[in-house]
Amino acid sequence: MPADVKTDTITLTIDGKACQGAKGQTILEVAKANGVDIPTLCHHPWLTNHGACRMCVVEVEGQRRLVTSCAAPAEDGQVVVAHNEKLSLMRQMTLELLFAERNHICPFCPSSGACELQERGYEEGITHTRYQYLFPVLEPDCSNAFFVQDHNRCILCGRCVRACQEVVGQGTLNFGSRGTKQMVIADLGVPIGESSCISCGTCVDVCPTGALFDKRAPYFGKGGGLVRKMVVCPDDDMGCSMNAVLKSGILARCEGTDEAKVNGPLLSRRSRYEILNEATPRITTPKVRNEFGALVDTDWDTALAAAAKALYEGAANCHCNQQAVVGLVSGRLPKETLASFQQFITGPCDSADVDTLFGRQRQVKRAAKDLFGDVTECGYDAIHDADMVLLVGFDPCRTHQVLGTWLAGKRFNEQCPIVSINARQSEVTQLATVDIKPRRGCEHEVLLGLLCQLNEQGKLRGHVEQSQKDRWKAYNPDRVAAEAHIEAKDIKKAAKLYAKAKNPVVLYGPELGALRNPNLIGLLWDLVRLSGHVTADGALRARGFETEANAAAAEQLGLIGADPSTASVIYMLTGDDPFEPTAQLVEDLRQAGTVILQASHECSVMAHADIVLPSLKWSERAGTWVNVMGLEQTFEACTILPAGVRGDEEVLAALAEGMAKAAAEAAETAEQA
Amino acid sequence: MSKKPMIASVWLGGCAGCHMSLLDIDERIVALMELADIGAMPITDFKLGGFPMADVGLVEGAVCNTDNIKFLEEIRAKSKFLVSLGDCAGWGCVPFMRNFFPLNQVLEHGYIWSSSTVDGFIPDDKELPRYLDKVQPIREFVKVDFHIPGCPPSADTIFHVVHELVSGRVPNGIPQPLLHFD
Ligand code: SF4
Ligand code: SF4
Ligand code: SF4
Ligand code: SF4
Ligand code: FES
Repeated sequence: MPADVKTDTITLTIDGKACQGAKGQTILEVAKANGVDIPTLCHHPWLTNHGACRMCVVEVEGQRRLVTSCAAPAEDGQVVVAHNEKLSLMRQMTLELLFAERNHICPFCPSSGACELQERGYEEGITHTRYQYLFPVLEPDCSNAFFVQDHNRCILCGRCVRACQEVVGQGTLNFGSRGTKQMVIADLGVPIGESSCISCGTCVDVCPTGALFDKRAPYFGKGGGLVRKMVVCPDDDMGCSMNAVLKSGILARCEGTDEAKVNGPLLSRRSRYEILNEATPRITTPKVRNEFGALVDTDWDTALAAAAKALYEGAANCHCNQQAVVGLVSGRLPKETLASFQQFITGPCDSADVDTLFGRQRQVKRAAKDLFGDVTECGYDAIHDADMVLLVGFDPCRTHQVLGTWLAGKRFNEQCPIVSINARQSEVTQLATVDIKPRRGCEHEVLLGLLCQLNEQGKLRGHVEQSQKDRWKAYNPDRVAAEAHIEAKDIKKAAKLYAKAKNPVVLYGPELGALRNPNLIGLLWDLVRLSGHVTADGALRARGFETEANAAAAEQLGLIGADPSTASVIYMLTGDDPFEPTAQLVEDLRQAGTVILQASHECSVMAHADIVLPSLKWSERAGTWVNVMGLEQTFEACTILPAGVRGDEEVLAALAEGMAKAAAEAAETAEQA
Repeated sequence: MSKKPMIASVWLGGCAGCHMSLLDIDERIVALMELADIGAMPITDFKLGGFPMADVGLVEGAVCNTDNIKFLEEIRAKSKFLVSLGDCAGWGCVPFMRNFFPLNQVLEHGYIWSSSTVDGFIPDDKELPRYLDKVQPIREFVKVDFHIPGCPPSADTIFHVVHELVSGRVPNGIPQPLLHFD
């Protein structure tokens, strides 16, 4: 054993048991690790310790006063008593006071059965409280769209306050007033729905009582019989995961878990709450368009046969001027499904045109790599370490909400400046130190303006051709400001912030990709490279994010482009992707001979579809997801398919079989003829 | 043969649920009856002053009005061992929720504004008991010897406690699996 490990190991006696621990651990942590149970209330493994509730008190030999074990450091040789009659009486008293302080009506409480206060009460054999009730009249705060704060059940443990600060970095919740008047408040005491709260729900996860509860599932989400399964958040490519909480197979709610590799216990409004809303009805029956132009329900065999026939004929027609079959698949589906879809289009359908719905975003980056050489972009560490963030065409508060929350934390807790360059309205505006909103299409000029400034200030360390420098020179702030309809001082300020930072990071997103201009990405890379902002392992302090959760997997599989504009058959497997087709795609769908849509919920593409096949939604899918950093994660499905719905890959297999049959029939007919 | 212990029970501001749960002990009531007599129950028609002397008194319901106090005091005076049965009696529970509003507002709601009421008024006959300003658990008025929480307590919990008591033992709390507040 190395010497340093040895000196770090400590041994203490807790309830007569020799317990090993490490220096720096609390008594509670050592006890837990050694299987000694000490009751707690305000302690939470995700949070710092606060020592507020005094449930965890223990006796330590040689110390006159009782010690809160969640906060007290464990020391070598300590003799600790965690359970005896005196401590039990103390705990009972503490609990009874808590019950008397506010209004606890367990049979009426959504947390009953999963409440830590109640649980502690059972453990200590509480049957009533000996104290007079205070009967405070407290209004529940229902102003948040997703959860309720009912102060009647609050024990002022402060977990929510700490979670909002420590996990989320938002700092919305706080304690107001003192003594018996003490309350958890939002901001300076406004209703939580009108506060700076971002509805991430972390406070709801950590609340030990029914003081914070989910509106959607108050009476079936708690108590016994719950199953938790980790799922990926399908809404962006960060690779966040969470626990889906199921009761009798029904999705009750989503919870944060510290086992999530990317996001830890932090979820976003979207992944915790909005994901549970189904805005449009589920498709559970296949449909085909009849001779009157109406989509009508049909059985699987009919729909599959019709789809297989259309695909077969489309594939057989490929000698014409038309593209035969074009496949578009949602990039939020698991890698396995993407691969099956790709194989189906390239195999039986004999077409090279297969891509994800947002494939064009990736195309731009690929083009940039072709033009400017491959680069390695930085990982999450560099984002967490950054002392300045430059966002280009990226609104993480809207599209990558966990990242947005991190950035808010950096902004408000670390005073990390954030500069946003985005032509579109963005939610990140509220965080931005400098918010540059150029005329659409002028992002390029703004970036050149930045480079010009950095160059003039001598901040570019890398080698730059003179011709290049001359070119930048032209982009002085006044000219850029005039062209892009922004203010010259904002460019100067942005350049100054970037130049001053030691570890700035450039993050770009879907809105940059939507501009379809690889030069923009090249310029960004130049900016970072020339400023010398490279991590220890050689990665540029820059990172591009995509809309689709499995964009990286699609890239690995080589789903690199589909042109639906001349397709005879367009086959779209969208699952539950909330994507809206562009005007161009709508036009292509109109022109196509046959449109096959495989989707879980009714959507606008249905209006153009000739054949509709049911598909899976996020909680029903299993497989592998590769996040923006290349992290591969595998998840199981957590809910079962509704009646009538078949798995995506099963449908693909059936279609391939149907096409083979159609081919055989065609051969037979040809022979007979 | 010595006399069997006597059980008497009453309900105050409660919903009868706790007594229903008592009946849920099913055939175990036969065993109980072999050990004890029941002298009064909410369904036996007795007036104030009519309680028998009891070994075990069971009280369901919170204290909401002046009559509740009188019944409670009487059963207390006549019971050797008084048990608070259920959350209303022990914690306040549902009736306690009216404490969030001023009494006159609660009465107006009940007697005047409720949608089924025509020409309503708040009854004020001298014979009627007066509402208390605040609903309270019974321990605020009398000494309680034992609390069984639960809304209602489960039949097993009630049986366990009552069976112990009529067998001449005072249970040492409620075993954890039988203890619940909801
Ligand atoms: S918060 Fe806990 S103790 Fe309070 S009413 Fe709800 S379940 Fe009961
Ligand atoms: S939902 Fe999130 S941001 Fe809002 S108060 Fe709770 S922890 Fe803070
Ligand atoms: S709301 Fe919940 S977490 Fe916050 S202080 Fe009250 S009991 Fe604790
Ligand atoms: S405790 Fe519950 S079951 Fe018993 S009387 Fe009160 S409301 Fe009814
Ligand atoms: S858990 Fe230690 S003081 Fe609350």
